[in-house]
Amino acid sequence: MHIMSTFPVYIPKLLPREETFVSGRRSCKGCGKALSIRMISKMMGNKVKLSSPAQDASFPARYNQTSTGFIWDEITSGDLTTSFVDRLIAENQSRTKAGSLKRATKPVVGIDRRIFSKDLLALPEMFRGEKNVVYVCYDSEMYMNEMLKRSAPSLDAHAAPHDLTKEELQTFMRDKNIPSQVKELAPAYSATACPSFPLDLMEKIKKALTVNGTAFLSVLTPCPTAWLFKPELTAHLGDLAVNTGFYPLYEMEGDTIQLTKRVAQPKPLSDYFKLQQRYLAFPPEWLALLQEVISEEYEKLVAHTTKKGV
Amino acid sequence: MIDLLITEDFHNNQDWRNNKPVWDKEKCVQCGICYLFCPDSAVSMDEEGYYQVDLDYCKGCGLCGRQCPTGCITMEVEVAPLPWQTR
Repeated sequence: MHIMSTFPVYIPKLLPREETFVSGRRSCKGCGKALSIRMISKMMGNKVKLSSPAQDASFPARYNQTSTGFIWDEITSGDLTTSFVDRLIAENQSRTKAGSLKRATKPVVGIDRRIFSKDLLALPEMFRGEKNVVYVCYDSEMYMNEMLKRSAPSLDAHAAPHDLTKEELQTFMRDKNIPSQVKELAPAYSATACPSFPLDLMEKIKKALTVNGTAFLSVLTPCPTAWLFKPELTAHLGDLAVNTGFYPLYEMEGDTIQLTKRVAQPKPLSDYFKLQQRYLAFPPEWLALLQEVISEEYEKLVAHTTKKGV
Repeated sequence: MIDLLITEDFHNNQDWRNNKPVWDKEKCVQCGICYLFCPDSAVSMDEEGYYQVDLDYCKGCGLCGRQCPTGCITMEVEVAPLPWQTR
């Protein structure tokens, strides 16, 4: 038992000192993904050793370097992830039988949000069978190109960018909150988190590791290289995403939804958008429409939490 | 498989960096928020309880300075040595 669990309030100084996510990696300046992985690996607390040699060009936590507990799957899901998870569960069971482990360590799998738009079967496949796994889904909004960025179409695309309707935006924002999609698959615990609220993220990871059954966590990771903002603003942008209601923080256990960060007066969405250069060509009519949709969704979420009496 | 074959030793992140964080010890309250928000885990605590940075790993993103509640961290402009000067 760590010293942190004896205090009711978290103090950054008392967090575990050892770095399981070893420094010297090739992530960009101010990487939100690396930041959240570091926070998560601090809270996992088992004998996981994560490191990344400098020759890894794309991203540090690749599957060929992570050997024990933490799996990073860049784009694909399916055979590779399931085989890793099955192997880990079998290894845990054999070790607990032999008596070298007191309690089986729960495997944590990191997945990029992109796979859900590429592979439609990935999400139901993750929850098939009764696996005791924590899934951490990193949402760096790479999939949002067609919908919100209005980028130029690729060379072989036949369709021109079209004007968005309110229904499209509504379905898009509903799909963005994965935990509400996941609800039908009945995970033991599912939540959204953001590295701008580190102690909230750590609390959720702790809960996901202790709960009995599959847990799902969706983490918003601001990306300075793709969103085009100054690297020092990483935490500030995550803060704004939560405070504008664009990415509400909540957790779901069974049927009860609980808002972990309740925003009394959401800030205007333009505060969040004007800091990012990728929204340079975003028309103001769409912004008004999106603002309307987001505030509706947020009110719906708040009403759902109060109805349950949480 | 290819990345396993191509190997190159890690030296430091010095050539990523334009500026480095400098702590003002009079303003510092030793809260540890800079340590918590460093994505490269370069910030560590010294014997007196103040915080310092490992300049081999720091990339100069400035997140620690931005998140500091007392504003004791300033980003000092530092010109990175050119590749042929370090070899």
